[in-house]
Amino acid sequence: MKGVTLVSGGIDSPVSTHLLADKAELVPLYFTNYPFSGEDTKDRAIASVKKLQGLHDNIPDLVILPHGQNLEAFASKCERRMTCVLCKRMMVRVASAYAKSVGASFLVMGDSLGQVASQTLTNLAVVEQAASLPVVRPLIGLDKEEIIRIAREIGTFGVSTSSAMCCSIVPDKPSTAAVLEAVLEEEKKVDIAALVAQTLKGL
Amino acid sequence: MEFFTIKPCKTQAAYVVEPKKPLHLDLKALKVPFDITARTPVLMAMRIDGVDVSLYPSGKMLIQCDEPECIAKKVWGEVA
Repeated sequence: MKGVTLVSGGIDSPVSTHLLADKAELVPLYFTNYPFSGEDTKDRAIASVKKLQGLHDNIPDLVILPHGQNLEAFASKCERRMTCVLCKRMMVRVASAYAKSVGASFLVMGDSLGQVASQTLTNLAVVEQAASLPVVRPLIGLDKEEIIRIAREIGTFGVSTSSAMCCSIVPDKPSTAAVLEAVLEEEKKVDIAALVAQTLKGL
Repeated sequence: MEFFTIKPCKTQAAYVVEPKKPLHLDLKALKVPFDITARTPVLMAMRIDGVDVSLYPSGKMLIQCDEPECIAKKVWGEVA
């Protein structure tokens, strides 16, 4: 069984990857938001994957795809408060295409319910609708303390919390209850297929 | 232009610099002699002297270096 695990450089995604790594071959995939975030976030993702490779011998090197051009398109043409939902939908859409190209059959994400305002059940459902493969969320029922405890145990907490610039294009008030029909309308304002193709060219 | 605040952002990886009075910049039309890496109505990303800078319509900037004042003065010298 092979999957693609989305790694963000934060605390959660290395833990979600670790929890499934003994059950499947997981290819770690990182989307760089540059120039809307710093290269230091990418460095954190690379470092956390190296830590995981020390624990699991079936994890390949991190695959990195450009995502800044997608964010630029959404911020230029779409409803501002939907930027984060559109961003994550694009990630799972591209990740699904990439996964199929490498023979993977599912995606792994580090969401846990209600951890931040945007991780509502409503938003998770709207994001998942853009995926063309099943999305597995090993952390969904864990609280932050449990996730941090595991991150400390596996040695990724330190690299995941090192200084790194946050995403500069996050709106002041991101949508917490995105409506799928409204999101789909916003996506009509950009050429989704072209953006997916352009992103995959970054491999 | 006088600075209003220079403070570390919440992740401590960059500085937030804000003008004393908010500006109302049209980022889509703004012309600056810097390397523009992304341009949207809500944020313009630039690279100035090897430093990544995010400029918002209010004139607020996110500057990823240890000495943001010099960069901020350069930008405001062009846009204010």
